[in-house]
Amino acid sequence: MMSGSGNSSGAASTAGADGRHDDDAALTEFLSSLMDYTPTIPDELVEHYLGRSGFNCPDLRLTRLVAVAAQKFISDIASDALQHSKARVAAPIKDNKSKQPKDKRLVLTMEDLSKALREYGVNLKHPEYFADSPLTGTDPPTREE
Amino acid sequence: MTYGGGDAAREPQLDSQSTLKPRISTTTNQYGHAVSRISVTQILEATGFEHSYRRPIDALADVLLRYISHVGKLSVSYANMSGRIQCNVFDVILALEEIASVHGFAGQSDPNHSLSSSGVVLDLWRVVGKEREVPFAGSIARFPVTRSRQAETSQDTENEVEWGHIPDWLPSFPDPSTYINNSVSNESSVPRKQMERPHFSFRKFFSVNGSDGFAPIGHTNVERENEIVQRNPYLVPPLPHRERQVSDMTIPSERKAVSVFETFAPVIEASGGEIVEERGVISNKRPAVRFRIGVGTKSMSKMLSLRDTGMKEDLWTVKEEEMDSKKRRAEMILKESMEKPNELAQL
Repeated sequence: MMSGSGNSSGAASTAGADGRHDDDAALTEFLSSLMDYTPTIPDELVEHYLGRSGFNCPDLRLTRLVAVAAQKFISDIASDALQHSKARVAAPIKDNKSKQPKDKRLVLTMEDLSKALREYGVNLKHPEYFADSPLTGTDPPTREE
Repeated sequence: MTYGGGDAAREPQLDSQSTLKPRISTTTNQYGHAVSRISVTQILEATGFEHSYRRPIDALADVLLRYISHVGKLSVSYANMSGRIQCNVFDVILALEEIASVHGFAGQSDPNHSLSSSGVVLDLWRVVGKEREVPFAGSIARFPVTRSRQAETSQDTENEVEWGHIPDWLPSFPDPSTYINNSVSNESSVPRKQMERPHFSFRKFFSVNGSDGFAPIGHTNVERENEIVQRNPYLVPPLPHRERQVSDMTIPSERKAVSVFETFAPVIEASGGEIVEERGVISNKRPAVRFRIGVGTKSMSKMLSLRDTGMKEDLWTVKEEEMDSKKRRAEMILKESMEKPNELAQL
């Protein structure tokens, strides 16, 4: 099913009628190649959450398209977090006295993730510490002399 | 890839890890959140991470679900703006472009760029073509799973026709014989529910009292109707416009009592001395009856004042039986007023 092939891209195509057909053909080919590719995110999960948003389309290729787009989104965030993590590992040690080998394991931490997500518009704030009571850490009330 | 429980240096020691569980997922989303956590872990592993803490994975899983919902919402809005309820590929591409517009994609500056060859689509094509395919670990069933309800089996549904457009959970239709007025269906073999007739019969109730004025119209024949009309004075047809003989009132006047015997003495003598009561005696002078309507404890009977003015009375159309009772009442009133003439001044 090639839904609405020439309707929306008709006026947008600058290459003319031939170019339009090429674009449509490329899109068709891409959608068909989606059926061969199995994304990491399962189709059932994507279908469920798309359905909750009102997305109504029986075509499986669109579901796969959204799944691939979500996978690419998460992998981009992960790669950005990985770069932040590598940058911290590769940073020179200011304290030369310890001479302890830096932990070269690549571990995803909340700091790296929040930095990576900030570029995508997601504010992820991790509480620095947990306190027993809400007043912990605040200035003590002034005592009467 | 190891799945750590938390940073011991930063987080305080707690008894159970369950209290650290983030409140991201509710009970309804737990399954979807768990599935997305697995896929996020697989993506992180494919990216290059070897280890991770629990909380970043939970956060990323939540981000993934929000992203999918966001794409769906945007696609639906683009479809609705075009006057459609079903999304197509271009709605999805427009939604992806809107999300990617924050970062930017190839061809974003050109307002007339083709959607088919959009930078977003090309990026995705690259993902499909080049990156190593990492399928989801395991297989999950289609969710949410709807419980199949068993159809209610009852005696009423045995003879029912299965309608495709009527859901099963609605109650069954009543027996057609109860609402179809068919005179032929009196001898139907199918046992039908007898309509309960009311125990109280209005006709019988009012027939005992002698007045059938409340009998239903459709159930009486013409003769019965005439009978009813003759009994009920309010159903009597109105009088035609002509003179009518009125029954006489034999009210003995106080002052000028007209004696019947004196008047018709010669007639009586001529007839042989038989005294015949005649009801058709019309006295020339009828006392005028005046009513005074007032607020007081005095009875209405004492408010009557009689004067012999000789005015003619209006014609009354009253039944004969009621006339007799009224006559008696009037006579009593007159007697009282004549016996106590002084009390009239109190009115």
